[in-house]
Amino acid sequence: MNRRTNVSVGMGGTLIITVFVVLCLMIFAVLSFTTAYSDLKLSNKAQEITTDYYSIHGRAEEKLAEISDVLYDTDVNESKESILRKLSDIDGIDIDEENLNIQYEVSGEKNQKITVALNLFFTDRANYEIRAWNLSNIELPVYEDEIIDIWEGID
Amino acid sequence: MNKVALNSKVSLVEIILSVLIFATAGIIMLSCFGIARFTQIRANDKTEAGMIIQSDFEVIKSLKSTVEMHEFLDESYEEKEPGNIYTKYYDENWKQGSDRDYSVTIVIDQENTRSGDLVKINISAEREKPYPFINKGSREIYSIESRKFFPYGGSHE
Repeated sequence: MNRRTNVSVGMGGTLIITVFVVLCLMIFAVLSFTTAYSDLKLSNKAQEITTDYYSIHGRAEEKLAEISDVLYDTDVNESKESILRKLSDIDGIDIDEENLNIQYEVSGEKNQKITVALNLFFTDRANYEIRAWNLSNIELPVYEDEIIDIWEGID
Repeated sequence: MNKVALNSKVSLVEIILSVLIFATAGIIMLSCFGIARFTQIRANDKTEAGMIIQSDFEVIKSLKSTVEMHEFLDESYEEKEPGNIYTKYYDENWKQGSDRDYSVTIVIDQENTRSGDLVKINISAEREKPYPFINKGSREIYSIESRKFFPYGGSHE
């Protein structure tokens, strides 16, 4: 027995299907743009941090050149005290006269700093060696302690 | 046997309206897909360029003198222009070769101090053609500027 079923799209059916398809495609387009834009934002952030790191590295090298110049200009017979006095004229460096160490920090804008520690030694003339050249955060996030009551079992 | 008959009652106005909606939305969608594609390419380019630039910079940082630095640049960069400007080229897949879709340029500015050479280094990556769909004037992808001090007689580390 043949049964005949009539399916009518009817007035407005085409329009509804078109709008539905367009909406679906629109959602796909927006989603793909959002994904790409998120990737770009991540790349930009990585670039900002890298640029900041190399900028502070450059400033740390400049300071090292300044210290090196002061040590280079010293006379062979010049006293330690006189050399240390000349070094103390350089801005932003800490001198440990007892242990003959120099330390300085260069801070960036992206919560990172380079700490440089130099050992001074006086052989035939004053010189330095790099003891530490460390990159670290300026501020670390503070996490509040959370005390949780744990069941300790039955005696 | 069941038979399904499609009894279409679609008016011409409805078809025209559907085509118009589809065409209008299509233009917007295509440009949206285009922007998404080239934004993604731009993000990937930034990552690739960043890795190449950082790698070159770290090599320079590890060298002991400006002579070694210039030797390294002469070997790994294709062109040298006056004023210590070195350039190397990459194809669209960031492979160093014949095509010139991207360029990485390093500008060296050497300043002699009393005890050594303080070198100002600027490395930048550029795309030769601007990105379509993304209305950004600059072709620069990535740029880093730093300094490296090369003391006479080598560094003490």
